[in-house]
Amino acid sequence: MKKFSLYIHFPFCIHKCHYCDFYSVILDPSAVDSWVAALLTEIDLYKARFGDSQIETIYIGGGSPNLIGSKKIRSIFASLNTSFRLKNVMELTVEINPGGAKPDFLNQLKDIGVNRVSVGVQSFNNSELTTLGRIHQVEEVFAIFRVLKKIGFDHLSLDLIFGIPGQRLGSWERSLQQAVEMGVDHLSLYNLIYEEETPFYELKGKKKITPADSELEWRMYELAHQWLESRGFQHYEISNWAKPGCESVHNSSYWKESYYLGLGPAAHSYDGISRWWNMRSVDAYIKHLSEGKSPVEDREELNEYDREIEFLFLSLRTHSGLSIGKFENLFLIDFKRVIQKLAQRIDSDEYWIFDGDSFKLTSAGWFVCDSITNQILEITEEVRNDHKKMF
Amino acid sequence: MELNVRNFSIIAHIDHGKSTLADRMLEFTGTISQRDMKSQVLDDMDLERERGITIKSHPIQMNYQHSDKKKYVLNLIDTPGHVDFSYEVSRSLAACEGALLLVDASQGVEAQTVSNAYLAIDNDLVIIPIINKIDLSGADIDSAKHQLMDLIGCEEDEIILTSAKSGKGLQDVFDAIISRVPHPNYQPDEPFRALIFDSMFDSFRGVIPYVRVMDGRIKAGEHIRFFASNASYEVAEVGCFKMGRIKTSSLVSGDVGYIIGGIKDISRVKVGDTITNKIKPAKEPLPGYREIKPMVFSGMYPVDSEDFTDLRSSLEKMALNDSSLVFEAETSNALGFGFRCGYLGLLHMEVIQERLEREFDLDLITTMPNVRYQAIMKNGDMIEIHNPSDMPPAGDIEVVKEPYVKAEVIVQTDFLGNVLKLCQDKRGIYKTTHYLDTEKVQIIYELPLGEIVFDFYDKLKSVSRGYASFDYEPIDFRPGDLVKLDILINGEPVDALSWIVHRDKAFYHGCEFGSKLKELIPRQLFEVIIQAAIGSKIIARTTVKALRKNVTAKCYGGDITRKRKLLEKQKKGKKRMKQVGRVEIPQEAFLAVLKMEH
Repeated sequence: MKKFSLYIHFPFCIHKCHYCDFYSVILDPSAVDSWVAALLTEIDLYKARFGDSQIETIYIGGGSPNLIGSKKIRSIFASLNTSFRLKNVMELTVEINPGGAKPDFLNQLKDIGVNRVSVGVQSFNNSELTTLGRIHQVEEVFAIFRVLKKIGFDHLSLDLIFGIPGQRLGSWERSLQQAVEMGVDHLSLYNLIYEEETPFYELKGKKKITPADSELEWRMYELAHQWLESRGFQHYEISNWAKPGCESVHNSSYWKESYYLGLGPAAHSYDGISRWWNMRSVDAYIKHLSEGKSPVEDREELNEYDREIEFLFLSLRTHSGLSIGKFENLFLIDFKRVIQKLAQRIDSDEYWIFDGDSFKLTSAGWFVCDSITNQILEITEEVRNDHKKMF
Repeated sequence: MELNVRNFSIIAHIDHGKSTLADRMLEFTGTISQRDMKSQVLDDMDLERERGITIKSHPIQMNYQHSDKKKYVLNLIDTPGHVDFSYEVSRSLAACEGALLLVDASQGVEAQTVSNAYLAIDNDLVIIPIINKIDLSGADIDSAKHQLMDLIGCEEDEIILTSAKSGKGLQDVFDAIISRVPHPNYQPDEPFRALIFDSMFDSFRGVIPYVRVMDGRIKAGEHIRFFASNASYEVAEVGCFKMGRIKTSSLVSGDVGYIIGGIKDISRVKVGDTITNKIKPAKEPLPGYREIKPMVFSGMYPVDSEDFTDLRSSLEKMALNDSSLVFEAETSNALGFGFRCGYLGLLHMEVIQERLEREFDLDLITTMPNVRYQAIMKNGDMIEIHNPSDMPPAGDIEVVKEPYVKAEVIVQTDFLGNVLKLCQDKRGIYKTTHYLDTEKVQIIYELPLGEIVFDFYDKLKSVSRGYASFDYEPIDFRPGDLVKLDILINGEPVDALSWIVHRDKAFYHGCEFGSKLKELIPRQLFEVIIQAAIGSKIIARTTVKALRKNVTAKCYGGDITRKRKLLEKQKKGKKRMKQVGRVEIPQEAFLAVLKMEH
């Protein structure tokens, strides 16, 4: 890997939110120490392979990375500095949770060189925050942003969730408004998903909560699309909005199929040939590394078909869409024919824009993008079969 | 000689203990050791064991030493236990001299008990009434006795009490078989005549008819001829049945056995037909043969059109063992290439479909079942309709006739009103009511078979809390005010969803069918309009709104693998959908009518 992005997963939280299926456990200070030690070993393990490559972006996610502590974050960066080339890092993001982020720690981040902070706000409505099982209230969000602005980070981003049980369109609009007023240049808006093995999933199964109507969710999404666009935020990816030039370089590496290395439990990596991921257990992660063994749980080598699916669904997520020329060259298919057939099946102009060179989804298209991706995959197969029959 | 042979059947309602009694008799006579006994040996198809019903009959021979120190040969001819197979039952009974009529002590007489008892009486069989499961807590022996006495006019002391499970009363059963069932009429010197009551297919030896020899004798090397099909064969082997086929030197008047003659074509071997000697033929066949015709039809299509040839060969294999299954290729605009299959009844249809999916691993779309209709045209021609989409234009038809059956329902008096109402709703014509005792009543109706094939069983069970039992026999074809109900999806008629209904119910059915389809058809990327129409007149309309959301947006942390697998899973799910025009329709929609609340 010549250039790559680095992701570090901090798997601890004070409290697990009801909807969250990211890998995290309840904070245990001694486990954090072991996690740091294991992480330093893992960094060391990759030194030989990636020591000469340029790291372009670093993203520390979680969990609640604001719980790492000032001393520990410094030792992590010291280790990164000795093992990898950090001088060309253009974007260094840390995710923080408004509940439990200390000004002292945030100052420390600035010193280390963090230039982007992403705040897990989720909602500007206290009762929605309670529903979600967040530990913070709106007042803490305001307080955190005052601190962040005072410290003077280059870029601020925040996350919101829509489709929360009981959430109304008006409340969603107020959250959007507040978010913009926080002075962020980037927003990630996620539609609530009922992931298996989360409390929300079970509550839904027992009919104790009523998921939002998909029609309402669509209106919320479309509202965000229109409303933010009119305030200078470009909808550059299915769930992400940014002021021009403020798109997240790190996140883009995932859907542009750039290379990335993930460290920490359950972190994922990609080197252009294969994908691999670490064990989804802090204990196993720590144990393996303490014995000098790799914490990688499994890996997969991508075949031609996997690549094609990935290329398709990842590029459809982006604002620039799928480049016809690139797709045709990579996967040897008459993609214009595919689009033609797609248009026969779905007689509608609201889902995509095709300008001859690229195929882009509209916001309506993004909200049904799994269906469209499946249609395209099916038609691609058909076109290939027709082709075979001809020869 | 043949004076020590007894040929008999067991007739009983489902679950009244027929198979258990048979198992005990096999153990008692040492035909099979207890160790080798899987429960219910006679039902050897998995499906039969699961459903607790016998579809194909398996004769079996037992050697029994009686208290008179004489050795007897007992041939048990099992009968199919379902209403669809009443003709087969009647032929199996015709091969016997006696029948054990088994009634569950807690359930009493049921519809099938009655109809099969009458079949046995029609065939002049000696009937041995048995009350089974007498040691169950809910047993009401007195009322079962009265019902039996009323049904067959027997004396109380003729009724045997058993518990097949524990073996209690088993000796009484054997005693009654020896003393009451007459030995076969022994006529070894008459020209050879044997009744075919079943057959099976063996991939090495061809179709093997199961026979009861009435007159004369037969051995390997002789030539035989089938009366109905007029086919001739040289006999390669004859034998009788124990747990498997046992080769014997000959079969003689009174025997039950099999004949192997290298018969390749199952259509030559018809249940109820008579086999005779080709050189010295009998003058006449045995009475009672009937050409059986399928009563219920439905389309069968592979979900993946590439599986068409597999489906054909699977149906061919299935038909080798089941002469009552008929099929011919047909084409549907909506579903492509498939087959129109004819069945004896609904259960027969379900069994065949399940076996195809299970034994041949086929993914199938089955269309709604329909009965056989006769369209009398204005020019006097008569057209048989096996598929609603074959219905000629209404203007050319003088009248459409539909099959009627004589239906018999036995139910607790509490539910009599409900059952009468149901039969009335199903366009039934009331015939009689007969009280079996103060609690049980038998109701006779004439009903259009077309009403029964939808959901009559389910409805009957629900209005009687599961108590009613039901049996029917076809009677005739009668004119009906019938129309073809078409379903249009986004303006295009879908032939596989057409349906012939009574005009009075057409509007109601059209509305309900539409809303059922609306439930079953998933939202698509465009609005789907479902319409029900008679001729060019739209009678109902509903829409499936366009899909608004199908997105799993997050890929954070770079877990692309999971997202890709999710898409692949969705794609697999789509494989069970059929693309009709632009609309994807799930398999079960084609059977939606059966799930309606009408």
